Amino acid sequence: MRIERLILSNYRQFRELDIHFATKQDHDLHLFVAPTGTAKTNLVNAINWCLYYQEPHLTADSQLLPIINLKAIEEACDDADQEVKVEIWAKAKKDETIAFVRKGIYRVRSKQPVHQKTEFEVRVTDPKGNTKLLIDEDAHSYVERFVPQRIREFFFFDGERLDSYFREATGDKVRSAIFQISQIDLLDTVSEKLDLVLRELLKEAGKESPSIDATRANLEKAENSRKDCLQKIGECEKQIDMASARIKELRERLVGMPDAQTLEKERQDLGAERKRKEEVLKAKEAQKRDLLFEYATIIPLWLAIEKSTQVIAKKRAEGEIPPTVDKSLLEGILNEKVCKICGRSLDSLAVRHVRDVLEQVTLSSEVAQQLLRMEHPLGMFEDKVKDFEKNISRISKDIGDLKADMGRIEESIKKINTALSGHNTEQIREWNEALNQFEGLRADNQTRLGELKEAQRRVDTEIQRHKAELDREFKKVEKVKKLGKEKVFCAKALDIAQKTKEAILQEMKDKIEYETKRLFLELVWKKESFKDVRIDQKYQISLIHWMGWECLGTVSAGERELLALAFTLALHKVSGFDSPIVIDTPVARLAGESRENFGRVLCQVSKDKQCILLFHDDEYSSNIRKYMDSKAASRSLFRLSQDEKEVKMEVLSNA
Amino acid sequence: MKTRINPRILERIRKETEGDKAVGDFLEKLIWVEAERSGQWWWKEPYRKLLKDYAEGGASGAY
Amino acid sequence: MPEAPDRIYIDEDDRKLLEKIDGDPEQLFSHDAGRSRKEQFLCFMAFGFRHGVKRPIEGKKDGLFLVKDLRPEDEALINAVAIYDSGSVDVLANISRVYETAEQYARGGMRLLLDSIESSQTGTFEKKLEKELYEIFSNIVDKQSGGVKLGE
Repeated sequence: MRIERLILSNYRQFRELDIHFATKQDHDLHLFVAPTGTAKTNLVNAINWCLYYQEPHLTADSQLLPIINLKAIEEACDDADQEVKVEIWAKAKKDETIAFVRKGIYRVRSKQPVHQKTEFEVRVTDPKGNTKLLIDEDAHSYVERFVPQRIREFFFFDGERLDSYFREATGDKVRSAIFQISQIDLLDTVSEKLDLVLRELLKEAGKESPSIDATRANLEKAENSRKDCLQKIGECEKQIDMASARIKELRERLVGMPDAQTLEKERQDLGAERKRKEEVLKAKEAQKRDLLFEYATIIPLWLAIEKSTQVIAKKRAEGEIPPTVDKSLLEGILNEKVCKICGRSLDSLAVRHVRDVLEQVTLSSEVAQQLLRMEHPLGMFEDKVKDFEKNISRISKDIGDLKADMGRIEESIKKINTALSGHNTEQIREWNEALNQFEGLRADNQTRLGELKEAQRRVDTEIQRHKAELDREFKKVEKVKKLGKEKVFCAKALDIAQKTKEAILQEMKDKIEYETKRLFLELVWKKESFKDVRIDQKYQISLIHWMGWECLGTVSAGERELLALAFTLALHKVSGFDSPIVIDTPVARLAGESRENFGRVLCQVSKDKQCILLFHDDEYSSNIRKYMDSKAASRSLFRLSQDEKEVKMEVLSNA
Repeated sequence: MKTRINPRILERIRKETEGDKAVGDFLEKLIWVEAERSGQWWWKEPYRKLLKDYAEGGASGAY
Repeated sequence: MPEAPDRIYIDEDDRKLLEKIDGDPEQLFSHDAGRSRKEQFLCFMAFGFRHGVKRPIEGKKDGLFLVKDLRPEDEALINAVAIYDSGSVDVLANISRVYETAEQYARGGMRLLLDSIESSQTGTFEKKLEKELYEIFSNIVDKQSGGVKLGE
C-alpha cells in the first residue's frame, strides 16, 4: 500500500495543501525540505491525527495553538463552523483505492474555536468503481491493516526521537512489534479457540464417563496451575529484567564514584573515635599537670627534705628520737624545785642531778615529736621523687601515643574528605542504596524463578500423566469414540499452531536480526568498530563491539539512531507490510559518511517501498542531495506565508 | 473479502503438517476465517463444524 | 613560747599577684583550676626555696588559709624548710618562726613564678617547668652516691 495523495484543509499551519505522490520508475522516494518555523513535523502529526486521532509529535508551541488554522479562525464569522480535514488517499496492491478521512468541526465564537465533533470514515473503492463506506469499528480495523497503531512508531516517526523510542523499547515492545507485523496474533487467536474447543470436547466426553470427567477435571486443574505458574514466571522474569537494567544503569552511574556510603560510615566512626581519644587525652593532660604540680612542690624542696631526713636519722641513731626524757618536765621540776612525779621537794643534790640530766637532753620533747611526725611524710616524698622520671615518662608516652593516634585519625579523615570532595555524596548514597535494593530484588526473584520453574516441571509431568490417562479412558468408552477422534485431531492442530507460532517468531527474530545487522553496517561509517547486532530471546537488542563487549550504551546518538533506523527498515522488510515509511528529520544527528550512507540505503529501500522524508533545510546537505536528488520521485519545499499564518508548498521537481 | 495473510504462516503450517494434510488444511482454514473476521463473533459453531468435518476426513472445508 | 598563729599570711599587696597567677592560661597553678590556696602557697614556697629568694611581708598581713588545714605532709615540708633555713632543728620550737620562714619563701617564689609564667609563650610554661624539674632531678641523681639512690 502507498500514499497517493495527502490533502490537508485548515490543519494547523496548512490552510490548503494537496500533495500528489507520483511514482518514478524505480524509486518511490519523496523529499520535503522545510526551513525553521514551517512546522514540517505537523505533516507527520497530520497523518497520525487522521489515522489515530492523535498528534504525538507536537512541539511545545504547537500545543498552545488550536488544531484549526489561525487564518481560518480569523476569517470565520462569529458562530460559524469551520472544518479541519485530513485525507489520506492510498492505493492497495490490487488496485483498490482507500481514502482515510478525518474531519473535525469547530464553532468559532469570539475568535475562539470550540470543538463540536470529529468524524472518521474509510472509503474503499474497487477497480470497478464500487465504493464501500466504513465507519466506527470497521473503519478502525482498516487502519489497523494499513499500519497498526501499536507499531506506528516504526512507520511514521521523528528521526531525532527514534533513538529515545528505541532506547525505551523494551524487549516486550520489540516482541509485540514483531508479533503484530508477522500476524502471529492470528495464530494466537486460533490456538486459544482450539484450546476452548478441546476443553468443551472433554467436558462432553466427561458427561458420558465419570472417570473421563474426573481425569479431565484433574487435567484442567493442572493446566490452570501451569498457566498460573507461567504467569508468575513471566512476572518474575520481568522483575529480573527490570532489576538488571536498573543495576546496569546504576553501575554505569557509579563508575569512578567513591563508595560514599562506606566512606561516610568510616568517617563517622573515625570522628567518634577521635572524640573518645580527645577526651582521654584531655584527662591524661590534666593528670600530667597535677603530677607536675605535685612534683613542683616536692622536688625544689629536695635539699630541705634531704637535710631533715638526715637529721632525723642522726637523732634516731643518737637515741634522741623518740624522746626518752621529757625536757620540759625536767625544766619545770628545776624551776619549782619540786618533783612533779612524786611531789617531793628537791634538795641541792637532787637539783644538780636533774640539771645534769637536762644538759644531756638537747632536744625538747616537742621538737622530737615534730621530727617524729615528719619522718613518715619525708620518707613518702623520697619515694615519690624516686618515681618522678618513671611517672612523668609513662604519662608523657601515653599522651604522645594518643596524639599520634589522633594524627592518624585526622589523616584518614582527610583522605576520606578528599575522596568525597566534588561528589554529591547524598546522590551517591542514594544510588548505592538503590543498587543494593535492586541486587537484592534480582537475587530474590532469581531464587523464586528457580522454584517456579521446578514447579512448572512438576506440573508438566502431571499434565502428561493426566493426558495419557485420558487417552486410555477414551479408548475404553465406546460412546465417546467419535469425540475421541475429534479430540485427537483438535489437540494435534493446537500443537501445530503453537509450534508454528514459535517457529515463525524465531524465524522472524533471526531474519530481523540479520537484516538489522546488514543494514546497520551499511549505514554506519565506522564499520570496523562493530562486530554484530543481536536480538536475544527476550527481544533485547544489543550491539557488539569488535572486541566482543556490548556497546549500545556507549555509542553516539547518531550511531544509535542508525541502529534504530536499521531495525525499523528490517522490520519493514521482514514483516511483509508494504505500508510507506515517513521520517521527519531523518539525518540531524548524522554527519559526513553516515549521511551519505543513509542517502544510499534509503534510495535502495525506496525501490520496494514508498519513502517520504521531511528534511530541515540544514539537513538537506550536499551528501544527501548527491544520492537522492536524481532518484527522488518528487521534491518539494515548504514556505511560510508573508503573514506567517500559513505554510505553502512549492514543488521543486516531480516525476 | 480476502485479506492478506503472512505467507510464512501458511508455509510453516504446511511444513509442520507434512504427514497430515487434513490437520494442515484445517488450520489454514481457521487462519483464513480469523483473518476475515474482526472483533467479537460467534466462532464456536463454525469451529466445531470444521473440526468435525476435517477430523472425519471427509470435508472439503467449505464454510 | 609565743602563741602559734592560726593562719598563714601573705602580703596584702601580693593579692594582685595571686589574681594574675589565678589567670594562668595553662591552669597549672590557678585556683580556678582547682588548686587550693594552701597548695599554691606550698608551691610558691618551694619555688622561693629553690631559688633562695626570701621576701618578708612588708605591708599589711592578709590571711591566706587556716593553719588547721595543714596536713602532716604539708607541715613536714614547712618544717624541713625552716630547719634548712635556720640550720637547726630547734627552730621547730618556734612555730611562728617556722611559718614566717615559709611565708617569706612563698612571697619570693610567687613573684618568681609569675615572672616565669608571664615570660613564657602560651603552651610553653608547662614544658619549661618539666624541664626544670628534670634538671633538679638529674642533679639529685648525680649527687646521690651512697644513701638513697633515686631513679632505681
